[in-house]
Amino acid sequence: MAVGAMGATDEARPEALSFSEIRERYKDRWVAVEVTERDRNSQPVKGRVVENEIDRYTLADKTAKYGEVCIFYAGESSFRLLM
Amino acid sequence: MIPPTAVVERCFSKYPTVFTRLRGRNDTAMEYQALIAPTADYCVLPKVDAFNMGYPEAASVDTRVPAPNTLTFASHNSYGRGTLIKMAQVDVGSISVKDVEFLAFDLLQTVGYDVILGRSLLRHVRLELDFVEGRLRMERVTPSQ
Repeated sequence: MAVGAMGATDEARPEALSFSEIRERYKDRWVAVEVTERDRNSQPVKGRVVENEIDRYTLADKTAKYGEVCIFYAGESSFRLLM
Repeated sequence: MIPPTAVVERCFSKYPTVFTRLRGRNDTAMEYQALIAPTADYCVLPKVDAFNMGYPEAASVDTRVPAPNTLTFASHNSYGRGTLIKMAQVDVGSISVKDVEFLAFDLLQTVGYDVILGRSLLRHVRLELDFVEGRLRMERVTPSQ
């Protein structure tokens, strides 16, 4: 049985999802993703969600044990932005 | 016109965003979906992430003796304070820039973005934002540092 980079077996690892699937499945949560596929601009398009949290800073604590992950909010602010 | 050495093209629906990879002083790397904000003087990232990337001064909570690189800034409706750090490397696709100034500052989570790419990075690139088509194009016009 193959063993993944994090020491977990492939069976135990979360499935790789497209970023649009991640946004649907983890709507309005902060996610940490192990990127598995990139487009021609090296932008991530597919990955495994290794952690997800409603609170960004709790997520930061949880991701400390991983190597490089991609963090983003799988939703859209309900407020209008003035940035 | 100088031809670009690296290009990133991306579509966006509402706000111009791009995934960016940051490598810190301790060689820790993380990737974020960053909001492109040409009106921000500096790039921004959360304090805890700056700490994890080897910038412990970013987590200083001493309000009496602030870190020497503490920066006071004005936003649309208030003043704020953050610690200015120099990110060892910032990658956006094939574009790579070293020693980019970032402000370690926690944005409101309700914004939905934790990292901002401001002019401390954008001054190194040619940026086109097309809000009609929802497209952005970023070009590096000088060799990677």
